Amino acid sequence: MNKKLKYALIGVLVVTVIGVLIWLKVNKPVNDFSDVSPKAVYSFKDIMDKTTGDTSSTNKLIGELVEVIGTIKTITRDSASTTVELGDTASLSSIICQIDKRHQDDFNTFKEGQEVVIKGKISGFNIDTELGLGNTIQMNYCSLHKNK
Amino acid sequence: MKQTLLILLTFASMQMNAQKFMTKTGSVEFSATTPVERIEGTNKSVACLLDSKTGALDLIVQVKSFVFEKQLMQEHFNENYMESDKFPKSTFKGSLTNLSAVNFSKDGEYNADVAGKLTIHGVTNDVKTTGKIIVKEGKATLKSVFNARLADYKIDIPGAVKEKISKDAKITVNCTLDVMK
Repeated sequence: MNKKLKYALIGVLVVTVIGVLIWLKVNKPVNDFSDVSPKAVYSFKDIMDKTTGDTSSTNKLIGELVEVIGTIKTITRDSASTTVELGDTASLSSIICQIDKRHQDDFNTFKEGQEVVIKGKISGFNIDTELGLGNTIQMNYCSLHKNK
Repeated sequence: MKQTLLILLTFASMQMNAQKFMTKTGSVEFSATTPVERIEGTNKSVACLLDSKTGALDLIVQVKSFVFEKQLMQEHFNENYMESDKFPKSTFKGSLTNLSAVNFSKDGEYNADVAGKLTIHGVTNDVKTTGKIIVKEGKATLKSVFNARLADYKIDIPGAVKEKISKDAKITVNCTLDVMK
């Protein structure tokens, strides 16, 4: 094979491989945490108690993958999403779990008042001192606990 | 007797009309889509409080609660553009300026004029927008679509991706509020 042609083919191959790798990196879907072990498992009360402390320690929880055992206060479904609120009717404080689209079918049969174990990434807190909405923990990419 | 009943009914109606409505599972969608790239994020854990007596309207949006389809998009949104570690919340604090046009005790669809202060990326601007309030079976659904110019909130778009990201973010608000008990 002609030397020039050989180099040209290698060049094309290298560029193609780099292109594919960049495409894969750019288009990589968000991580699915359903099979990842949580850093901690909390009861609803335990994790809510953590939100009453100082802001710096509360902020350390942001980004952590945790499991929470709680009661479904409300469940909001639309064609594209499911959002579960954990809490009890006696208090306005609650945990809002945005269910990962890939796992929202797992919640089809759940109803308000049922106990559930939900895993998700903590994405934020609303420590409410002004509006009277109670404290709120927000979790993203949530999925149902899997028995292993 | 009839008069007493009428007074009671009027009072009950006034009470219904002077309630606070709230949700913690409101939705805000963000889109900076261009013909080159679809850039959309959704946040379904928005806290919203509406006082039907005063018209006061508050929204609190945790920036890290926006969900994207692509990992890299989510990272860039939080780290490069919104700097969500530094500015974790976006808020709207304002009011319905045509409160008298909305009857919270009667099912129907009402035009809503809203004005207030929108804080994104640590920058607060006065905004005015319009929307709808749909009152149905004791709930009030607030819907509004408006644009926010990224430069107004000091969100810098690097030259290399300028063609991929719209200069204006389209923000879609959809919150179904329950009576606050």
